[in-house]
Amino acid sequence: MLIAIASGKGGTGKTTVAVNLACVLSSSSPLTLADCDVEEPNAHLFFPGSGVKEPVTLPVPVIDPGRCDYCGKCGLFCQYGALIVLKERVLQYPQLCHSCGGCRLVCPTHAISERPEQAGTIERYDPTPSLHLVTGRLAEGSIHTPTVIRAVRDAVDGAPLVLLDAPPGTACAAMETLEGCDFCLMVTEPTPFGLHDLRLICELARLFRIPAGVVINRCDDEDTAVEAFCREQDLPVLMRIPFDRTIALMQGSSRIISRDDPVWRDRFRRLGRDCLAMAGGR
Amino acid sequence: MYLAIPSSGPTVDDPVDTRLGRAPYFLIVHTETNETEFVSNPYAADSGGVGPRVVQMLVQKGVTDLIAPQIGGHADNALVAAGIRVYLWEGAGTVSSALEMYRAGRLSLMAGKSGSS
Repeated sequence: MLIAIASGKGGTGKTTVAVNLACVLSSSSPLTLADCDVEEPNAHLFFPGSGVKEPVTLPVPVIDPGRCDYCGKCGLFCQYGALIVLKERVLQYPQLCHSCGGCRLVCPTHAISERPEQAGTIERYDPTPSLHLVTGRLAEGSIHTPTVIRAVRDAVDGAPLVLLDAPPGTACAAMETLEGCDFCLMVTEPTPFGLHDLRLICELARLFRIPAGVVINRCDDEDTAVEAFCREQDLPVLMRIPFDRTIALMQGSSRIISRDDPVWRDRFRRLGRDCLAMAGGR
Repeated sequence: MYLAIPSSGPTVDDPVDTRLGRAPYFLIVHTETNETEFVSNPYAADSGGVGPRVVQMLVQKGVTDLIAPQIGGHADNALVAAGIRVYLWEGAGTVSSALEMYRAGRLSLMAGKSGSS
């Protein structure tokens, strides 16, 4: 079962909700937490430890200068400017390459082969005996966010229960994380920006036909435009987290409220049960 | 030698475009015969990697000199590799005024990587 924690807007509390859910749900059955926010992974800050870092690579072209006659076909073919042919030189920008392999196909002298270029890493370890953490991390300067997320998804393939901490936004990276999930928990805040991006992520979940529920963070008032939107869209509000200094302080010192506070433990247990029920009801 | 000037439109009365990769047109001038040609930039609206591809196109046109206001990192690399001299264009003005200033020797080579090549 795959449960994504997404938000549209950044900084609404996706990771807070993900690590708390991971904490309570892993107390009763084995769980994998997949940090798919590979541009800035942070779930690991709450679960110290380390594991083997496996590279995530993509094939990029290598030109054999002995065979290349600078005909320019590869340079004209490449839509990404990843290689250009000058008079007697081929200039490469591997960071712009999308690994389509087209340059190799159009080369009449078979001067192009491929080498692996690192797009990122995947790190995995068990912070507790029943919790497995998989962290994807994009290499500095790389643009291949979806590739690294795909590698995280492959690494958790087959695990019985997976929480995916999604990247913010609703573009490629969020889609790569959400696709095929059984449930999407949307974390938002009662602000115009929170509402605007909640609309977008709601639309995306609908597009993928994923059932969804909402957590409203920093919520001190139930009479907000976000609540009205949820009612109008039939989105269940599964939890409200108040704007609370104690929570902020615990969060800031990488403590987990559901582990340290029995009231929050019960609340997150209920949230976990609701998510599992809604995910199973597909 | 051929000189290229990024242009916002297809005439010499149009302003010099402030971008290299995304300029809609280039005026290409044969500096000895004064023959001129406007070429449209096929990459102007593409999503990325436009700088290197425009340089590739200019090299194929035989361009050796370029007047440009600002240049991105990828294009700058390509201009250095291609040995194209880049003249700095500051402020506003039409393509014809840029051409006059170039002919009068009043433009300076860009101080960046490409200027020093």
